Amino acid sequence: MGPVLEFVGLTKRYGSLVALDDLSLQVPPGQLFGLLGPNGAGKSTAMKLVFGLLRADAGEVRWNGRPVTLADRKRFGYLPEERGLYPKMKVRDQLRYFGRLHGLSAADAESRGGHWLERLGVGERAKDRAEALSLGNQQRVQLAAALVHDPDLLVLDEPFSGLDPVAVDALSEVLAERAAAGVTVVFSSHQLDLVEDLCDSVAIIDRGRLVLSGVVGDLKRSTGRRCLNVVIEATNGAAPAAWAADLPGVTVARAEPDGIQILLQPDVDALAVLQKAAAVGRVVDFRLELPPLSQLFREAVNRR
Amino acid sequence: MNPGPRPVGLVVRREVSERLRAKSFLISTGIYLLAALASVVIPHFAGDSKKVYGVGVAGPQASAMERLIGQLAPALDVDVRLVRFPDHAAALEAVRAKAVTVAVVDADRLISRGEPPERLGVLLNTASSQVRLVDRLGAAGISPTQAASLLATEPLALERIEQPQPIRESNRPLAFAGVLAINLLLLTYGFTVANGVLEEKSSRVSEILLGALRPSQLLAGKVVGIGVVAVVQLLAIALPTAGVALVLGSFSVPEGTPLAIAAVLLWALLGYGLYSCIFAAVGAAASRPEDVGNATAPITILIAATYFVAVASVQDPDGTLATVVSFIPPMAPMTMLPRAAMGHVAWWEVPLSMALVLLMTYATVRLGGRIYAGGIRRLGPKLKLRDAWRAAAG
Repeated sequence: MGPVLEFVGLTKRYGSLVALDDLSLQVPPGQLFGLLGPNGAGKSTAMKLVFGLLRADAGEVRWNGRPVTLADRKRFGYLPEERGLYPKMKVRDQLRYFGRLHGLSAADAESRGGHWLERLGVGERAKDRAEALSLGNQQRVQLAAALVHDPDLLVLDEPFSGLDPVAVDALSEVLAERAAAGVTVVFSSHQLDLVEDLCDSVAIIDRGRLVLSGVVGDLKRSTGRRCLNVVIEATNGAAPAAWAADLPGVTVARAEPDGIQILLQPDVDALAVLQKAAAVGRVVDFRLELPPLSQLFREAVNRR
Repeated sequence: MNPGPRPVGLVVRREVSERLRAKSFLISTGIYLLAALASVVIPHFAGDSKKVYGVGVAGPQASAMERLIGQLAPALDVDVRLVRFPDHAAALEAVRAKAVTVAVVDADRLISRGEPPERLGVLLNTASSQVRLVDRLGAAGISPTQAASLLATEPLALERIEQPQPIRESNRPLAFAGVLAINLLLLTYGFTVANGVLEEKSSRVSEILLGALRPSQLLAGKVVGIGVVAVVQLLAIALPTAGVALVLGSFSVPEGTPLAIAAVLLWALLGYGLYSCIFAAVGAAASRPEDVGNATAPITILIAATYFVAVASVQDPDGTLATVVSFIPPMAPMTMLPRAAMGHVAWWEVPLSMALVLLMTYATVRLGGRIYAGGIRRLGPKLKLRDAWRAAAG
């Protein structure tokens, strides 16, 4: 078992605002760990605490069972919430500088920087100043800066936001590969449903508190419920949403003109429900799935 | 874990290599260098340092006048160029045509367009009165040789009661240039530090850097790196200028120039050390470039006020004001230089002044370093110095 990142009773207040409220969780190595939650949940604050950019009011961040030191942090890679590059410095020079600050030799910093720029698809921009790059490309350089020294822990704050689908694929591949190499990888996102397929495990936080955590598949299966999305073309002009409302063991989660999403209790036969739908009109599309993380999150927050 | 290269050294190297390559650095160095060169070259060729007067002579006494003017001119510190004219009319025409400044005819008539220059007038009057005296003595039967020996006098024997304490006038241009250079350097590089800190903070690069080094290391690297750039710029301006000045002989004490540059450099560094951490603290507490201008106002006003006091010291290096301010640490880097270069300082005064500056530097580094450490980590829109101080406390 490799090194584990732990948040132990982390509390952080900004004046009267409580950003983190006794947050405890563990990030195991070798998998992609998503720190998820809506905007303002405290994800970035928790990540900043890992790097000592803020001081916790209570609790601590541990690495390998001990409080994080500066020497540990040199082996961490960080993608900050608001990206940070020197606007007027050449991309290649920045990566060499960051690599050397994290303990690489000049030659290693040069070659690792070049490697990651190539890998993330911005190799040909190495000699440009950062400010000359598009935001998306700056983000790739930023990711290269987090990866350049082959860190033992990767902490990425919203790494997928602002990337095109090709870059998202490239990055998820890189992260999966790093995790497979034993690196501890934690990244944040506020778009729960977009990243749930990427994560192995998640911790979902809201208003600074842990709401849900665990392996994504286990979490989704644990309720026994499924989610059925149906789109019906009404034949008789009746409101298409009304048909499901009275069925036993069924809750309408969302009803929109182009279809409804209904939650099925564990004992409900999905095919029987679909037949009811077919009686109302022509079923153009249907999809049966485990409930998305956003649904689990909503339920967890309401229950509290 | 291998500690790797020293982080402060890496920060210094980045600051130096990025800034020396910047276009703005090359341009500003070029402009300052041109201005400095112009300040030594233009006076040399304009020749306003020593005016040479054209003096016409005519009439029977012309040779005697020429001889006496030649003898007296060096004593009165007047440079003259003598031109012989055949008669009054020719001399008059030459003065009118501005071929000569004045003309003396027959040792008793001075032709001038207006009032003749004062010392030139004294010279010509003294010369003509001696010529006429010899002339009258000759009429009284005394030969010109006898007359010469009678008229030969020794200067007054001097009996000193006090040792003279003249200020070293010849060092005045150097002292003034040094004060100006230190003033510009403190302001320019003070703002460079403040803006450099703010750049790292507002671009959020600091968030990555602080994962790998301590705030104190980042601050030390930045201050030292920018200090190196400042020294490079100062030398890049001073050395060619001093070289040209040496060749042209613009300074009357060229042998003192290397020492003067070393003194300016030393005081510039002491001043930079004193102020830089305060500028860094302001940069770390700011969140926008406009904040830097406002927050640095008290420091820039202090530096500007010191500059005017230092210019007064250049005028009166042995005065009470000059003496007092040269021991006030924030003012000493600019005001001790003119005293030491031109006036009279006891052997212990410069070391004492430097020690006081270093003592205060220790205080500003501690204070500025703490505010910096708090400010560089806080990224909110508003940050008071007090909050930055507290943020670093915990």
